[in-house]
Amino acid sequence: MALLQITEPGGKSAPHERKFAVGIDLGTTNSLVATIKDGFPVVLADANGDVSQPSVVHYASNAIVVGREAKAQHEIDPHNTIVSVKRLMGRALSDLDTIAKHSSLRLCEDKGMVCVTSDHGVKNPIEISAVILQHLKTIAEQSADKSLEGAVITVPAYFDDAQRQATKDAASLAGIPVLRLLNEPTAAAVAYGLDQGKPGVYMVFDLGGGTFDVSILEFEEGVFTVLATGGDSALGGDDFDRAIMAHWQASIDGPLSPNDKASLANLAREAKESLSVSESCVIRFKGQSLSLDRETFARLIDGETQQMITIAQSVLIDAKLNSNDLNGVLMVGGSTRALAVQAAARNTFACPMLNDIDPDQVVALGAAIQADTLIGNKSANDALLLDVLPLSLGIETMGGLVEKIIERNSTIPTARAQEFTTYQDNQTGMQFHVVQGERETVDHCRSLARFDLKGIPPMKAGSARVRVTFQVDADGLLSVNAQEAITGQSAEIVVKPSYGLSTDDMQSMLLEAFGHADEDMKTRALVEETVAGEQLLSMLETALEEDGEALLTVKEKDGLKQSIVILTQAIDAKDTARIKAAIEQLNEASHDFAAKRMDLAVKKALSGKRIDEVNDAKN
Amino acid sequence: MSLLEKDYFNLFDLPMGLDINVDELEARYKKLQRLVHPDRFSAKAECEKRLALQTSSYANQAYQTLKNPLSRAVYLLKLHGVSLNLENNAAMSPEFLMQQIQWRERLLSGDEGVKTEIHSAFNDAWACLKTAILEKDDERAAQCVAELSFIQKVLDA
Repeated sequence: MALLQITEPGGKSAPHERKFAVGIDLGTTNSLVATIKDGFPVVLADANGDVSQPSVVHYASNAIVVGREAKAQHEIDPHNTIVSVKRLMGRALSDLDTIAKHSSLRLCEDKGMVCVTSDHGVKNPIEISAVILQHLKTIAEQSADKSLEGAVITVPAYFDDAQRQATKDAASLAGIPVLRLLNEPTAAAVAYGLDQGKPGVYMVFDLGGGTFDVSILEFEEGVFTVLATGGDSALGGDDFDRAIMAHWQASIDGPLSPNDKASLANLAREAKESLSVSESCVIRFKGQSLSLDRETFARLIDGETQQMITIAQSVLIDAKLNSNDLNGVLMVGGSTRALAVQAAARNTFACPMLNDIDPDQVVALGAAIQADTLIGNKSANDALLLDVLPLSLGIETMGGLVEKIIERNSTIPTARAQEFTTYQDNQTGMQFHVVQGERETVDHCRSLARFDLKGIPPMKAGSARVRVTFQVDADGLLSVNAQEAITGQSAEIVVKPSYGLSTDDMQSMLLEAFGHADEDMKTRALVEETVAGEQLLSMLETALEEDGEALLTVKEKDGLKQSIVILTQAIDAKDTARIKAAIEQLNEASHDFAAKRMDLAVKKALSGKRIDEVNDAKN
Repeated sequence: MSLLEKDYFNLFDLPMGLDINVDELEARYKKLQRLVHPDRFSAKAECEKRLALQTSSYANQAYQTLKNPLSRAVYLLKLHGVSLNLENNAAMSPEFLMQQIQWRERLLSGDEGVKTEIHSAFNDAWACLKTAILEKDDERAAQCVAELSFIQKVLDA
């Protein structure tokens, strides 16, 4: 039967073949892509055999290069070479004071976002990141000789909504289907196989190039729970480089050109890396020799290491635990190679340090394992990862104060509904300003978006009951919807993100990216809708076979079958708009059936089993 | 009945009441999340993903509410149709408010012994709430919950 025939995008693979999914560590300094091969996670190499790709994009007037080639341009053409773009994600120009001072880039602002002026035009962080992601996608597809079907992309646990959304937007711009944004520490824990071992509590101490993350994870009863998370999204190994640069600059005569600064930055990084293996080092810079030893380096970064330990301890307090409760500390991120950092962690937390997986690769490897599960290559019996919201979400109230709607460290996904009323007769609109952060005034929190609520039915002041639901999904992304409680009418919401792209902006950027090839865009849309439609049909087919008899009346079944026919015909007609509409209709029609199936599955699993039986079953 | 229409106790198939087995709750919560979390549906149809998001969110909210004794009590009273006004100081007796101030002062001065005293006051109010619910005395139940909420605030401070 035609319904059961599933074709993959590109039409190459057979129905039962493994789907090609990858894990991507989109790092500040370097990025990696990994997948599962023969049952094991491996990082994928480019044609040169390199697994680690510099997160650098070079915009010349007539060409865009990325990775190693772009990094080579850093000293030659610093104005047009963008490094550490991750630090610009979801940020405004005013957020960047300290970093901008050290940057050789020409920064500007557009749509609230910090942007870079290059010889190739003004570039925003989302498109710059998309170039890096596109590069990783190409490496993965060439290495596997398959087209990519899904990716798990890692983000620092501490990333706020704007930063997460920017990452997701970059992926869709690069044409990568995102299975999930996964917190880097959680990915590391998966790579260490903590979910395969004994129950316990672990700290993930993750120090990358530009970000510092600490998470406390508990593994118990097949579920990974993030107990608490914290960090600083502007603290990392790059700060060590800057500390070294500042130290050297004191002894360098004369002012430095942007090119000098860029090459000094590279030398600082090399010096830092060499100190993990040798006692001291000497470098040559403009005819001068500059030296550095381990002790001096430790002293230079003492402020940063202390800051990290303080953050780590406060996360432990947030988790209501103390040092004795930890079963281990996972050292993650290339910057944990700095001996001073290791010593500080070892002296503070008296438990085993886990660092036998390459700290640069561990996050990508964990993401690959999770991607394999999420795309459906493995049975769903694996551990479940429950993440938390890193920063509280709130709305602005009178006098610039913040009313918290969802507290930080709440397990996600989560939803909170709040009722609002009108203060004027016949008022049909309302505005919400959503912010993220822990402080009590709007000025001290990050502005996320303004929501304009329109179409409230005209009523007397105070009699409308607008129920606004704030939904945070498993990626940590917020969406808002509103309904007038008395009439049941949905209100329209227009989102204006404070530091990023609205849906319209995204659409026009996508068009721009494919603008020169309008036909490609149309073909891509048809393929995407067809795949989605066929997936839906095949899933429904299975569902109907399994539970159709038990859960549906004859009438309900006939209704569903009708919608199925409409979708099948739309797919046969190769009409993108018709397929889309038919998918929506079928999704709507099968909602109750899906709900009944979920109820049944839960009932089977929960009913009558007390905890002693659950324990017995495990033993 | 759909999962989203069930009350929190019913959702985890636990007997409705003020005292619950918290270990049992946690085990059932995790079991439920393993079935309904959006990650279990990432390769599934849009309607199932949406449903998973809603159900998983609901389960998180239910678990958080039932895990904490005070929020569990408030929720239970709400199910019984008792409305509470926990922000209203005027409803509390002057003696009770005086006691709060004393506790706070002793806590600030580093008097560790006072914690035991506060905990036992919490337990007393809890016992009083239980009796009130048993006797279907809504007004008294509301009063006990208000006391519990004040005591909890001192403990959290």
